[in-house]
Amino acid sequence: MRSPVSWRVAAPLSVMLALLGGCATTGDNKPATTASAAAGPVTLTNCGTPVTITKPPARAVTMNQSATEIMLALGLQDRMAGTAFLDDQVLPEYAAAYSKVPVLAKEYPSKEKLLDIAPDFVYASFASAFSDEGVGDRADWQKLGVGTYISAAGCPKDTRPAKLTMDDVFAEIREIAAVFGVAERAETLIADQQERIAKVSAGAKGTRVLWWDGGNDAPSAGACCGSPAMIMSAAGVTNIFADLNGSWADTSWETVVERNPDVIVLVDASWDTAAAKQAFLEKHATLKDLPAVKGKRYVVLDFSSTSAGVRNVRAVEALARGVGGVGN
Amino acid sequence: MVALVVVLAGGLLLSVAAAVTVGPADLSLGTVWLVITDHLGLTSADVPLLRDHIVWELRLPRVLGAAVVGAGLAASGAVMQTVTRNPLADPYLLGVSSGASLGAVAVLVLGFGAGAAALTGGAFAGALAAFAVVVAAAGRRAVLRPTRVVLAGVAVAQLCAALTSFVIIWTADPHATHSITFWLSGSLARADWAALGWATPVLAAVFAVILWFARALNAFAFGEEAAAALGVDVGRVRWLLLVTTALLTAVLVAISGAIGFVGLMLPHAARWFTGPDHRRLLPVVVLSGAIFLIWVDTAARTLFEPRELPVGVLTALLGVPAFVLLLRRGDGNA
Repeated sequence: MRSPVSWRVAAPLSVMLALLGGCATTGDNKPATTASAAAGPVTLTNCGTPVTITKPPARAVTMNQSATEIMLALGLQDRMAGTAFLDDQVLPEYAAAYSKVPVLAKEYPSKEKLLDIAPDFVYASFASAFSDEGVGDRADWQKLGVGTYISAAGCPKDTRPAKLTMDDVFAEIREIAAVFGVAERAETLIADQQERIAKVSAGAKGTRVLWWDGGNDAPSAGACCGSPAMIMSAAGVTNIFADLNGSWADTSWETVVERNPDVIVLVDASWDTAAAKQAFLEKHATLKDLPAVKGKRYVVLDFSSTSAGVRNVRAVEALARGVGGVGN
Repeated sequence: MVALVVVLAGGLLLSVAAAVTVGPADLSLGTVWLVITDHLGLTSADVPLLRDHIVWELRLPRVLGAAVVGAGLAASGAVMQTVTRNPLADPYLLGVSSGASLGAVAVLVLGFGAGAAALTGGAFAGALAAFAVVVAAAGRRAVLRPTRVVLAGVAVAQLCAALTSFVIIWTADPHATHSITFWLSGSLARADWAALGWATPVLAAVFAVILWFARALNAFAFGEEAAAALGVDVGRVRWLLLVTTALLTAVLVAISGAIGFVGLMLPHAARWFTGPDHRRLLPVVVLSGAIFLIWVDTAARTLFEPRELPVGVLTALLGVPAFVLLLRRGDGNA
């Protein structure tokens, strides 16, 4: 009767985690169609759900940082009737465009609030947006004739890419551009990002990197298949925990010491700052003697640049430049 | 009886010695022992610094921490069960673990301070605060009726659990939530020499106190009237034992998070071997708690290496089947 206390807390938590887990990880949808210049109907399969867009949306609503920024990067702010749930400030280059879009809620808006806006397309980065904590089941919205879209990286687990790559992000940009009938803008954006990645990735080859997302007791590290792995792979570095399943996984400091990374990525998040992480490493009885810690070989990456979207290229650049010349 | 205690004490030493040689890093038995004998001043080999640290700063404090936490939780559980005459009582009876969880979550989510020290401090402060509220809520008459203490504990635990959920949901962030869930499920990764330095004396002192009152605890087992008739100052002894074990639990929870099962079930299992006499029960329960948690934590850090599991998940996963086995064999004894 008493000890269940901790379990009572943990049980609703695990449900929440299941919901949020969707947000934190990676996705799978195959670009089915690309709209040509002709503004005919666009059909695509998103997270295993068929979506048909009869005409380019004019009252789109975005939820989550990445979805919002992909729309702004494609210059689609005039087609947006609302937006919600940023984790961070929008990138400065999109700030002016963003200021024209009504913000519906700080986190997810209620279903009623969203119905009131009368959107014709709802685009979110994570499946959790279409859960009870968000705006409700996407099937209900489809029935109302409202198109829905979830980022590949944020699809429910069974429809997510087995291993997320930058191509999944580019495919998402292409599909969104196709939906809005601006396919050529996607090509310009993607070409620019690919060029930026190509410019930096060669110099970082072979550097062995620990991606430390958080957690002091059992460090949560970037694993084989999510956005951390995608960014490390695009930057050309070697992930020391590429053998762990999932996007992130809890491991142990003992294993970190044994694998001895050349460089440590410190993810900077408001709830767990890079400065706090660095202080922890440098005070820890064992970790302070790790060569990477002794040499202060850290790369700090904003958390918002690590979830799949237009910011990833910034993380790739920061990581590749940060480790430049360290490996070998 | 003495034989059983000697066997368990030997088992504890062997468990520490064996557990310290197991881990995700591939160290040979010889290296591990060389590091330990080096630090004890028996040898002076030149083991590379990081290998030395793996054994001396990561593994050994953690194995000893598991022993201290397991021993303390099992002892506290046994005392709580007897003093409240409630077989479902456990070390977290007085709101200690829910208060600690709330304190830890507040530190993790609201970012009061940073790092492991702040977390331990928050958990300890939360545990003490919840305990103080329980004592105040139970009131003076709780001395006479232990049910009041139990009910006050339940009420405060519910309140803390609700507040914890509220804080987590309000500041919903999947990554912060993940580290909270990990903490709530218990982990011994935070056990270092400093933590051992204050937890071990507290455990030793509390154990001395409860052993001193072993006869009084036996009297409690027969009921309060019987205890009073045997010359035990029921109210005073009950409070003394509840307060000391609650303080010990607060210290342990701050190190390891709330680890379930050990404090609730191990005392029952130990009673099957020792009978109800606390002079036998207490040494056995302390030693078996230490051995149990050492091995469960070793499993938690090595079973799926290089991944690590929260130890609280495994205490139940491994402990419940073992307990059910004992339960079925012990039919009629308990």
